[in-house]
Amino acid sequence: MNSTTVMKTFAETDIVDAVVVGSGAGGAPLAAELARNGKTVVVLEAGPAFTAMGHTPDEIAARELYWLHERLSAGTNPQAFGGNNSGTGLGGSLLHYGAFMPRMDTRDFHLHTETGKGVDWPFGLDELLPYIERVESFIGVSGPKSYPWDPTRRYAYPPPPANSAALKMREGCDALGLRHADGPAALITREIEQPHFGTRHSCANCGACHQGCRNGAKSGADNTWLPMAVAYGAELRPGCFAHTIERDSSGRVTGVVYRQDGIEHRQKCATLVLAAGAVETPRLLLTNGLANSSGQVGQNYMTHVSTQVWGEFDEDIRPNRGYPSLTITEDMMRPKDADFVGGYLVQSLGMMPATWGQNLARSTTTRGPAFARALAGYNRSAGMGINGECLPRPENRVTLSDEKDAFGIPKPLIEHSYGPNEWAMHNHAANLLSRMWEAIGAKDIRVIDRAAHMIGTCRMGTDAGSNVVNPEGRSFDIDNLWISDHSIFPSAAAANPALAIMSLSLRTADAMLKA
Amino acid sequence: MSPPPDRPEILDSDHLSARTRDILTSRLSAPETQPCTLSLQAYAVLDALLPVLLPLEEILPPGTDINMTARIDAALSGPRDGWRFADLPPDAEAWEAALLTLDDVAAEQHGIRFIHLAPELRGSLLDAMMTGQLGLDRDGRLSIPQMARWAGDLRGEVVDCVMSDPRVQQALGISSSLTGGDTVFQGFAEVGPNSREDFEPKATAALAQMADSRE
Repeated sequence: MNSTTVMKTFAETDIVDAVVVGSGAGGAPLAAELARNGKTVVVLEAGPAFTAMGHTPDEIAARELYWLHERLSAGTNPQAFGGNNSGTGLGGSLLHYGAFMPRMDTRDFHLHTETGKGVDWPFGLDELLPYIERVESFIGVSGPKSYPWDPTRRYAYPPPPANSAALKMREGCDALGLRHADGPAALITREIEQPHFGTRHSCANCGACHQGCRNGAKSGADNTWLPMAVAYGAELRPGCFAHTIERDSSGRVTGVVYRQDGIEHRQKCATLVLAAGAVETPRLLLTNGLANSSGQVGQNYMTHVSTQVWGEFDEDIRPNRGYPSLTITEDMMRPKDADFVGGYLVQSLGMMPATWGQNLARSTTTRGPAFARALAGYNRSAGMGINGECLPRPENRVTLSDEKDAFGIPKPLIEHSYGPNEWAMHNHAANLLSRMWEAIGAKDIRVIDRAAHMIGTCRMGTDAGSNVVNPEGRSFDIDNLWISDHSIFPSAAAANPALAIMSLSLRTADAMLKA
Repeated sequence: MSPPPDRPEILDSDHLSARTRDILTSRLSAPETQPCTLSLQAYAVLDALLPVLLPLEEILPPGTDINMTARIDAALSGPRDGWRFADLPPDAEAWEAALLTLDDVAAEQHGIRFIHLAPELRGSLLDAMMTGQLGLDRDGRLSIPQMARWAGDLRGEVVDCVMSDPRVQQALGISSSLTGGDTVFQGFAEVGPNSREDFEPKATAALAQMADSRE
C-alpha cells in the first residue's frame, strides 16, 4: 500500500455498507469500486499483508502465498491444491498467479447454444467487454501490437522479451502451420506511477511470477485495486478468517464473525459479499446452511484441462528465466478435427525447478539413475501447456468432509473426475503439442495430465431453481448477500479466469450501487 | 557422516536476496533432532529407500550429503502443501503407514527387513508400489491403491527437497534463486537459449553438462 495513505478504520459496532470476504481478483475490484462511490467497506482477508520485496523465489518458502488449510481431494482425477491454485494474503491468488491474461472467447459464453452441451452464460461478451477493458487499462496489461485473433484489440504495454520456451513454441507453431503471438500478460514493461500506490517498476524478467513479484511489475490487487480501495476509505483487515454469517429474523445478513489472532470478532454490515473462491465460498455457505434453496451450492465444480507437454533440447534453455508463458496460440479454440466441444488455448511454459520437478515426479514412475538424469535435464527443458473447457458434471462438486480443521470447521472435500469431453481434449492436445515438439527436434517428450484452476460451485443464471445467484451475482435467497468470484461462472470457458473474475467484480459492484 | 560440503558459490551472489540466502543456507545442515515425525523403524525404511529411488551421487560431488531423510522427516511435522488425497490419512500418518507397509512386505516376501535387502530388491519393491502392485489390507498399513497414491507424494516430497537444495542448484547450474538482490533487483538481461549470464552457475554435474559444454 502507499505509505502516505492513512487507512480509515471502522468499529465492529459500525454497520458498514459492505463487508467483503476475500481480497483477491473477486473482492478487490469490487471493494475499490464501492469505496470510490462513497460506500463504507471492510475487507476481511484470511492471510497476512506481504511486502513485495520480501517475496522469495524459493518455491518451498513461497508456499506462504498459497491457501494451505488442508483440502481433501477425491475423484478419478483428484486435483492438486496448494501450489499455483488458491492464494492467501492481501491480494489473494493474484499474488502468485501467472498473469497470463487472455480474454474469454465470445463463443464460450454460448457453449450450450452452440453445441447442446455445457451451460450458457446469462449474457455475452458484449456485456462484459466494457469491464474487461477497464480492468486491462487500470491494472496494466502487455501484449502485441496486433493480436491475430482480434485485430481491434490494443494493449498499453509492449510484451516482455520472449524466453527460450516462448521462442521454441514459435518454432513449433511455424512447423505445423499454426498462428502464434505474444500473449496478453498482466505485467508492465515500463515504469509507471500507479494511482494511489506509487512506483511500479518494469518487469525484470526474473521468472518468479508464481512466487510473488518483487518489483511491482506484475499487475495484482496488492498494487492496484487495494491501494485504490484504501485511498477511498475502505479498511483492509488481514489475518481475519471469516467463519460465521449472522442473520436477523427475516433471514437477512447482519454481520460476519471472524477469528483474528485466536480471538473472535464480529463486524456488522448492511451487505455481505463473498469473494473467497470456488472452494471457500461454497464451504462458508454450506457450513452456515445458507443461500442453498436451489441445492446447487458446491455443485458444478469445474477446472481447466491443463495438459502439459515437455521436451528436452540440446541447448541451454534455462526455463526459470523470463516471463514464463509468453507465446500463445488461439488456433485450437474450435479445432476442425475436434472430437470434443469447446476449445483450448496453448501457451509456452518456462517453470521454476521444484514445480517442474513435481510435475515430472508425479507423472512418471522412473527411478534410480534414470530419475536423476531426468531431473538433471532441467536446464535443457521447455514446455507448452493448455487451458481448456471443462464441462460441469454432477459428480464434480465441493462438499463438507467429516474431518474438522484447526478452527473446528469441516474440511472441504473436492471431487473431480474427467468426463469423455475432458479426456478427448487432453488426448487432442497431448498429440498436437507432442507433434510440435517432435517437429523441432525435442527429445524425451513427456505428457503431463493435469487440471488447473477452480471454477463453478455457486452458479449464476436466470432461474432460481437451478442457480445460486442471479446474473449480477446476487443471492436468490438472501437479498443482501452477493458473490463475486469464479464460483459464479456458469461454464469454465478456456481462458485463465483472473480477467473475467475482475471484470465480473466491477460489474457486480455496479449492480450493488444501483440496488 | 560425510565432511561438510563446500559452500555453494550461488550463496555469495549479490543476485540473491538476504531472505533467500538465509532460506537456502538453512538447508545446508541437518535438523537437530532425528527423527521428529516418523518412528525409528519407518525412518530407517525411508533412509534405505531414498538412494534407490533417487541416487544423488549421479548429481552431487562424491561425499555430499544433503540429509534428505532428516529433512523430509522434519518437513512432515511442518506446514504442509494444503491438500491431500481423500483416500489417504493425514500426511504424517500416511508416511508412517506406507513405510511400515514396505517393511512388512519385505519381511513377508524375502524374510528380512527392508533395510537389509539388496538395493535391487528394494528397487523392485518400489517399482511394485509405484505400479499398483504392493499394499496390505490391514490396520496401520496402506492398501495397494493407497500405496500407489502415496508413491506420488513420496516422489513429490523428494523432488521438493532435492531441487530446493543450494548444492543441487549449484551442481545442475540452476539460477532460479538468483532473481535479484535487495538493493538492486537485477532479474535477467538474457532469457533466450544458450545465453548464460556470468553470474549464473555453470553445471558441474556430468549429467547436466551437455548444454554448457557447447558454449
